Amino acid sequence: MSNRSKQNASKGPDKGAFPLDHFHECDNEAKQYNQCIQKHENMPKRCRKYQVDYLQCRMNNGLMEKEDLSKLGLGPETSWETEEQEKQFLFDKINKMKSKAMEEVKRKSEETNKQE
Amino acid sequence: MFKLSKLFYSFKHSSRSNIQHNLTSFKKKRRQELLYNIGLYGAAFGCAFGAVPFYRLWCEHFGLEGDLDKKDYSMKGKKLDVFRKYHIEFGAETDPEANWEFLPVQQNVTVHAGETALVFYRAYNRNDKAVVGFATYQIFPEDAGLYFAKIQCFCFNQQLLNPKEELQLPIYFYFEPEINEDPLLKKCENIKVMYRFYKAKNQELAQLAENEYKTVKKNKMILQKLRDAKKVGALNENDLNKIKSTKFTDQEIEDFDEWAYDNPLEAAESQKQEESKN
Repeated sequence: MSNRSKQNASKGPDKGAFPLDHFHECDNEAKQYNQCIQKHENMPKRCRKYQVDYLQCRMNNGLMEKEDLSKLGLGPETSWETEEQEKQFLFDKINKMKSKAMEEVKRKSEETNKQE
Repeated sequence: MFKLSKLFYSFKHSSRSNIQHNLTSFKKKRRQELLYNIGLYGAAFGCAFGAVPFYRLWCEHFGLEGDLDKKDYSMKGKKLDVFRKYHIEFGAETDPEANWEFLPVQQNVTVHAGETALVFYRAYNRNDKAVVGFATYQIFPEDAGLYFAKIQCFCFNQQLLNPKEELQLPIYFYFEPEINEDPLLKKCENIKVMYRFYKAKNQELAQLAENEYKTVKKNKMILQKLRDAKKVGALNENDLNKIKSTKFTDQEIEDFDEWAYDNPLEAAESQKQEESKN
């Protein structure tokens, strides 16, 4: 653990520090985001919309460098919907395998019954 | 060798003055050569230094932009394990000297590696004066700190908090996807991020802010006087200079109605309403 301490030396943030919002220009967006996160069990992924709103508000008011949303990792590939879809897909897969296995078991038990 | 032989020849077969002349010319040549050498080394050194801004200007001129500053956070090529979630707890510590509140708005957040997330801290300055603060953070477990990447935050920079001002301080971060492959962090599910907000040692920024605020107010007062004087009649230079150099007491500065100066139309309306009421 001690070998890594030099590597872990805190670096500054990539884009520098956020300028402070002294004029409260993006406070509404921040409030909405906080409310949304409270609703959705503190998962920022499910509140992407409000996150995007807040960052765009910052960009519009000169509090943040303008940049593509997809570059900031907020594209559709990492959205909550795709995660749910993947979950559903895997769940269906498992269910299929389960049902197949159950059929096999039934078939084999029937065979053994027939033999008897 | 040829030159040395020439010297010897002149030394043997010429008068004294000729020898002196040759010596001085020899010295001159050596001095020249020395200066050339120094100039050459200096030029090389200067080129090395000058190459940095020169390269930048060259690229700007010819439109060759390297995406050095714009990092891509979309994790395009990497496959993200979306189902391995980390519970990230946010903590806050304040300097006991500074009289302010500093708390995280979201106590904990659930993210997976590679996901960019936004988190807020709330800071409230209870003092009557502006304070300059400086934030740093620590991550537990320490090995996870290697993968904590901040896109933007409010740390590592002196931040000025105005008196009685409440601010939402955002942190925009993500954990690198490589954290999933770290053998030391195999069983790690909970990560704690602790932010500390210190009072900066030199409060110069706050002092500058206050002075600036005062000068702005003074200027507004002077301009107000000018406008009132102009309504009466045109001004000559003496009057102008007099008004420009008026000195106000601290009480006058505090009593000045800045809102009325900034919004003259609305102020006039509200005055009319008051007069109509009376």
